[in-house]
Amino acid sequence: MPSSIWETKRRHTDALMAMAGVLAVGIGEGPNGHEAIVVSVRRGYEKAAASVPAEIEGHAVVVRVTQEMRAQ
Amino acid sequence: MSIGHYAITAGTLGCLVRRGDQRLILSNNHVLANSNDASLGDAVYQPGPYDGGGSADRIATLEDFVPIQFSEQQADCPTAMGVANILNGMAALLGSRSRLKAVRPQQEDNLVDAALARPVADTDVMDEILDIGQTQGVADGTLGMAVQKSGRTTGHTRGEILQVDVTVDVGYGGDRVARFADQLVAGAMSQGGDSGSAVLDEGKNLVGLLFAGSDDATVINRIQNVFQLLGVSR
Repeated sequence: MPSSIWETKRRHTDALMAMAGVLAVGIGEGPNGHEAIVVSVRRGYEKAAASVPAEIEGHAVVVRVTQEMRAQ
Repeated sequence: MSIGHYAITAGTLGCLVRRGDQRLILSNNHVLANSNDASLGDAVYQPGPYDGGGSADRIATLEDFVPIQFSEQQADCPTAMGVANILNGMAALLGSRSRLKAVRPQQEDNLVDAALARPVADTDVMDEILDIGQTQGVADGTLGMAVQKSGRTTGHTRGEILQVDVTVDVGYGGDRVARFADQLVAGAMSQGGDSGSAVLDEGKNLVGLLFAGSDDATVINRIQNVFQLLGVSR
Protein backbone atom coordinates (compact mmCIF):
# COMPACT_ATOMS: atom_id res chain seq x y z
CA MET A 1 0.00 0.00 0.00
CA PRO A 2 1.46 3.42 -0.93
CA SER A 3 2.42 5.80 1.89
CA SER A 4 0.10 8.69 2.69
CA ILE A 5 1.31 12.11 1.57
CA TRP A 6 1.84 12.97 5.25
CA GLU A 7 4.17 10.02 5.83
CA THR A 8 6.02 10.67 2.58
CA LYS A 9 6.43 14.35 3.37
CA ARG A 10 7.78 13.65 6.86
CA ARG A 11 10.21 11.04 5.59
CA HIS A 12 11.66 13.35 2.92
CA THR A 13 11.55 16.71 4.73
CA ASP A 14 15.15 16.64 6.00
CA ALA A 15 16.56 15.78 2.57
CA LEU A 16 14.47 18.48 0.85
CA MET A 17 15.36 21.11 3.48
CA ALA A 18 19.05 20.30 2.95
CA MET A 19 18.85 21.31 -0.74
CA ALA A 20 20.28 24.71 -1.65
CA GLY A 21 17.73 27.51 -1.42
CA VAL A 22 14.93 25.43 0.12
CA LEU A 23 13.17 27.45 2.86
CA ALA A 24 10.14 25.33 3.62
CA VAL A 25 8.40 22.03 2.94
CA GLY A 26 4.69 21.63 3.57
CA ILE A 27 1.46 20.16 2.26
CA GLY A 28 -0.74 22.32 0.07
CA GLU A 29 -2.94 22.16 -2.96
CA GLY A 30 -1.46 20.84 -6.21
CA PRO A 31 -2.41 21.98 -9.71
CA ASN A 32 -5.11 19.28 -10.03
CA GLY A 33 -6.74 20.24 -6.74
CA HIS A 34 -5.26 17.26 -4.90
CA GLU A 35 -2.90 17.62 -1.96
CA ALA A 36 0.73 18.03 -2.98
CA ILE A 37 4.09 18.41 -1.24
CA VAL A 38 4.95 22.12 -1.53
CA VAL A 39 8.64 23.04 -1.56
CA SER A 40 9.33 26.75 -1.09
CA VAL A 41 12.57 27.94 -2.70
CA ARG A 42 14.22 31.29 -2.00
CA ARG A 43 14.07 33.82 -4.85
CA GLY A 44 17.40 33.73 -6.67
CA TYR A 45 17.72 29.96 -6.24
CA GLU A 46 15.35 29.07 -9.10
CA LYS A 47 18.08 27.01 -10.82
CA ALA A 48 18.51 24.88 -7.71
CA ALA A 49 14.76 24.34 -7.73
CA ALA A 50 15.17 22.36 -10.94
CA SER A 51 16.71 19.54 -8.92
CA VAL A 52 13.58 19.19 -6.75
CA PRO A 53 11.78 16.03 -7.97
CA ALA A 54 8.37 16.53 -9.60
CA GLU A 55 7.00 13.56 -7.72
CA ILE A 56 7.96 11.58 -4.61
CA GLU A 57 6.53 8.10 -4.02
CA GLY A 58 3.61 8.93 -6.31
CA HIS A 59 2.80 12.26 -4.64
CA ALA A 60 3.05 15.48 -6.68
CA VAL A 61 5.66 18.03 -5.64
CA VAL A 62 5.01 21.72 -6.32
CA VAL A 63 7.85 24.27 -6.20
CA ARG A 64 7.00 27.77 -5.04
CA VAL A 65 9.49 30.65 -5.29
CA THR A 66 9.33 32.94 -2.30
CA GLN A 67 11.26 35.30 -0.07
CA GLU A 68 12.90 34.44 3.21
CA MET A 69 10.47 34.15 6.12
CA ARG A 70 11.36 36.51 8.93
CA ALA A 71 10.12 36.86 12.46
CA GLN A 72 7.72 39.81 12.40
CA MET B 1 -2.71 46.14 20.13
CA SER B 2 0.98 47.10 20.45
CA ILE B 3 2.97 45.40 23.22
CA GLY B 4 6.57 44.45 23.84
CA HIS B 5 9.39 43.47 26.19
CA TYR B 6 11.26 46.62 27.25
CA ALA B 7 14.27 45.76 25.03
CA ILE B 8 12.42 45.08 21.75
CA THR B 9 10.63 47.28 19.18
CA ALA B 10 6.97 46.28 19.26
CA GLY B 11 4.69 43.34 18.58
CA THR B 12 1.08 42.42 19.11
CA LEU B 13 -0.85 41.26 22.17
CA GLY B 14 -2.48 38.07 20.85
CA CYS B 15 -5.17 37.25 23.36
CA LEU B 16 -5.71 36.33 26.98
CA VAL B 17 -5.30 32.73 28.12
CA ARG B 18 -5.69 31.00 31.46
CA ARG B 19 -3.35 29.05 33.67
CA GLY B 20 -5.48 27.94 36.57
CA ASP B 21 -7.40 31.03 37.68
CA GLN B 22 -4.74 33.44 36.38
CA ARG B 23 -5.41 35.40 33.18
CA LEU B 24 -2.20 35.80 31.16
CA ILE B 25 -1.23 37.66 27.98
CA LEU B 26 -0.24 35.41 25.07
CA SER B 27 2.20 36.61 22.40
CA ASN B 28 5.50 35.49 20.90
CA ASN B 29 8.78 34.74 22.65
CA HIS B 30 10.41 37.34 20.37
CA VAL B 31 7.83 39.92 21.48
CA LEU B 32 7.57 39.27 25.24
CA ALA B 33 10.91 37.53 25.93
CA ASN B 34 13.28 39.22 23.45
CA SER B 35 14.06 35.93 21.60
CA ASN B 36 15.23 34.09 24.77
CA ASP B 37 17.30 37.09 25.93
CA ALA B 38 15.07 37.99 28.87
CA SER B 39 14.51 37.08 32.51
CA LEU B 40 11.24 36.06 34.08
CA GLY B 41 9.73 39.15 35.71
CA ASP B 42 11.07 41.56 33.04
CA ALA B 43 8.83 44.51 32.23
CA VAL B 44 6.44 44.36 29.27
CA TYR B 45 5.20 47.70 27.93
CA GLN B 46 1.93 48.60 26.23
CA PRO B 47 2.47 50.12 23.74
CA GLY B 48 5.80 48.52 22.84
CA PRO B 49 8.97 50.68 23.04
CA TYR B 50 8.95 51.49 19.29
CA ASP B 51 5.48 52.98 19.72
CA GLY B 52 6.56 55.17 22.63
CA GLY B 53 6.06 52.74 25.52
CA GLY B 54 8.29 53.36 28.55
CA SER B 55 8.56 52.41 32.20
CA ALA B 56 5.30 54.23 32.99
CA ASP B 57 3.56 51.92 30.49
CA ARG B 58 4.45 48.64 32.21
CA ILE B 59 1.29 46.58 31.71
CA ALA B 60 2.71 43.16 32.59
CA THR B 61 5.77 41.15 33.51
CA LEU B 62 7.26 38.20 31.67
CA GLU B 63 5.71 35.05 33.16
CA ASP B 64 6.99 32.18 31.00
CA PHE B 65 8.31 31.41 27.53
CA VAL B 66 9.20 28.45 25.33
CA PRO B 67 12.90 28.86 24.39
CA ILE B 68 13.62 29.10 20.66
CA GLN B 69 16.28 26.66 19.48
CA PHE B 70 18.35 28.43 16.83
CA SER B 71 19.86 26.34 14.05
CA GLU B 72 23.39 27.29 14.95
CA GLN B 73 24.12 28.50 18.43
CA GLN B 74 27.33 29.94 19.75
CA ALA B 75 29.45 27.00 20.88
CA ASP B 76 29.90 26.56 24.62
CA CYS B 77 32.62 23.93 24.18
CA PRO B 78 36.05 25.34 25.22
CA THR B 79 37.86 22.85 22.96
CA ALA B 80 35.90 23.87 19.86
CA MET B 81 36.37 27.57 20.62
CA GLY B 82 40.09 27.01 21.29
CA VAL B 83 40.58 25.18 18.00
CA ALA B 84 38.71 27.93 16.13
CA ASN B 85 40.89 30.58 17.79
CA ILE B 86 44.13 28.77 16.86
CA LEU B 87 43.01 28.31 13.24
CA ASN B 88 41.89 31.95 13.05
CA GLY B 89 45.31 33.01 14.34
CA MET B 90 47.03 30.96 11.64
CA ALA B 91 44.65 32.32 8.98
CA ALA B 92 45.47 35.89 10.04
CA LEU B 93 49.20 35.17 9.81
CA LEU B 94 48.67 33.83 6.29
CA GLY B 95 46.83 37.01 5.32
CA SER B 96 43.35 35.50 5.14
CA ARG B 97 40.47 37.80 6.12
CA SER B 98 38.04 34.88 6.62
CA ARG B 99 37.45 33.56 10.12
CA LEU B 100 36.03 30.37 11.60
CA LYS B 101 33.34 30.43 14.27
CA ALA B 102 32.66 27.46 16.57
CA VAL B 103 28.95 26.67 16.53
CA ARG B 104 26.80 23.97 18.09
CA PRO B 105 24.38 22.58 15.49
CA GLN B 106 20.81 22.40 16.78
CA GLN B 107 18.87 19.39 15.55
CA GLU B 108 15.55 19.83 17.30
CA ASP B 109 12.76 21.59 15.43
CA ASN B 110 10.75 24.25 17.22
CA LEU B 111 6.98 24.06 17.36
CA VAL B 112 6.19 27.52 18.74
CA ASP B 113 7.50 31.06 19.23
CA ALA B 114 5.38 31.73 22.30
CA ALA B 115 5.48 33.46 25.67
CA LEU B 116 3.21 34.61 28.47
CA ALA B 117 3.08 37.83 30.46
CA ARG B 118 1.24 38.38 33.75
CA PRO B 119 -0.80 41.61 33.82
CA VAL B 120 0.23 44.02 36.57
CA ALA B 121 -3.50 44.47 37.27
CA ASP B 122 -6.07 41.98 35.98
CA THR B 123 -8.46 44.88 35.31
CA ASP B 124 -5.98 46.36 32.78
CA VAL B 125 -6.68 43.63 30.21
CA MET B 126 -9.75 42.50 28.29
CA ASP B 127 -10.73 39.11 26.88
CA GLU B 128 -11.96 40.68 23.62
CA ILE B 129 -9.61 40.97 20.64
CA LEU B 130 -9.68 44.41 18.97
CA ASP B 131 -11.91 44.42 15.83
CA ILE B 132 -12.78 40.71 16.31
CA GLY B 133 -14.29 40.32 19.75
CA GLN B 134 -14.53 37.38 22.12
CA THR B 135 -12.95 34.08 21.09
CA GLN B 136 -15.47 31.23 20.85
CA GLY B 137 -13.32 28.11 21.09
CA VAL B 138 -10.34 26.36 19.54
CA ALA B 139 -10.17 24.80 16.06
CA ASP B 140 -7.69 22.80 13.97
CA GLY B 141 -6.17 24.80 11.13
CA THR B 142 -6.90 23.00 7.85
CA LEU B 143 -6.11 23.56 4.17
CA GLY B 144 -8.34 26.20 2.63
CA MET B 145 -9.61 27.51 5.97
CA ALA B 146 -10.45 31.24 5.98
CA VAL B 147 -8.70 32.97 8.88
CA GLN B 148 -8.46 36.44 10.39
CA LYS B 149 -6.25 38.36 12.78
CA SER B 150 -5.98 41.78 14.42
CA GLY B 151 -2.42 43.08 14.51
CA ARG B 152 -0.46 46.13 15.64
CA THR B 153 0.72 47.07 12.11
CA THR B 154 -1.87 45.97 9.54
CA GLY B 155 -4.92 45.88 11.79
CA HIS B 156 -7.77 43.46 11.03
CA THR B 157 -6.90 41.33 7.98
CA ARG B 158 -8.13 38.08 6.48
CA GLY B 159 -6.34 35.23 4.72
CA GLU B 160 -6.52 31.57 3.81
CA ILE B 161 -4.47 28.62 5.04
CA LEU B 162 -2.50 27.51 1.98
CA GLN B 163 -0.17 24.94 3.56
CA VAL B 164 -0.22 22.72 6.65
CA ASP B 165 2.39 20.52 8.36
CA VAL B 166 5.02 23.01 7.21
CA THR B 167 8.69 22.76 8.17
CA VAL B 168 10.23 26.21 7.67
CA ASP B 169 13.43 28.12 8.38
CA VAL B 170 12.73 31.56 9.89
CA GLY B 171 15.23 34.42 10.14
CA TYR B 172 15.52 36.28 13.45
CA GLY B 173 17.89 39.04 12.35
CA GLY B 174 21.65 38.89 11.95
CA ASP B 175 22.57 35.31 11.06
CA ARG B 176 20.12 33.71 13.47
CA VAL B 177 17.80 31.16 11.89
CA ALA B 178 15.41 28.79 13.64
CA ARG B 179 13.69 25.78 12.09
CA PHE B 180 10.01 25.24 12.92
CA ALA B 181 7.88 22.14 12.24
CA ASP B 182 4.09 21.56 12.16
CA GLN B 183 3.35 25.15 11.11
CA LEU B 184 0.44 26.63 9.18
CA VAL B 185 1.17 28.97 6.26
CA ALA B 186 -1.40 31.49 5.04
CA GLY B 187 -1.14 34.04 2.26
CA ALA B 188 0.07 37.58 2.93
CA MET B 189 -1.89 38.99 5.88
CA SER B 190 0.75 40.57 8.13
CA GLN B 191 3.87 42.72 8.39
CA GLY B 192 6.55 43.48 10.97
CA GLY B 193 4.92 44.31 14.31
CA ASP B 194 1.96 41.96 13.75
CA SER B 195 3.86 39.11 15.45
CA GLY B 196 1.95 37.71 18.35
CA SER B 197 -1.46 38.15 16.74
CA ALA B 198 -4.00 35.47 17.50
CA VAL B 199 -5.26 33.82 14.31
CA LEU B 200 -8.94 32.80 14.31
CA ASP B 201 -11.33 31.14 11.91
CA GLU B 202 -14.51 32.90 10.74
CA GLY B 203 -16.34 31.47 13.74
CA LYS B 204 -13.83 33.23 16.04
CA ASN B 205 -12.26 29.96 17.11
CA LEU B 206 -8.55 30.21 17.94
CA VAL B 207 -6.44 28.47 15.31
CA GLY B 208 -2.92 29.78 15.79
CA LEU B 209 -0.35 32.34 16.86
CA LEU B 210 1.18 34.44 14.06
CA PHE B 211 4.96 34.94 14.32
CA ALA B 212 6.67 35.29 10.93
CA GLY B 213 6.17 35.93 7.27
CA SER B 214 7.30 37.46 4.00
CA ASP B 215 5.63 39.63 1.37
CA ASP B 216 3.58 36.66 0.21
CA ALA B 217 3.29 34.31 3.19
CA THR B 218 2.38 34.29 6.87
CA VAL B 219 3.70 31.64 9.26
CA ILE B 220 1.49 30.56 12.15
CA ASN B 221 2.06 28.24 15.14
CA ARG B 222 -0.76 25.77 15.76
CA ILE B 223 -2.64 26.96 18.85
CA GLN B 224 -2.79 23.37 20.16
CA ASN B 225 1.04 23.27 20.31
CA VAL B 226 1.11 26.71 21.97
CA PHE B 227 -1.40 25.71 24.65
CA GLN B 228 0.28 22.37 25.32
CA LEU B 229 3.83 23.71 25.59
CA LEU B 230 2.82 26.63 27.80
CA GLY B 231 0.30 24.65 29.86
CA VAL B 232 -2.54 27.11 29.29
CA SER B 233 -6.11 27.03 28.05
CA ARG B 234 -8.51 29.50 26.51
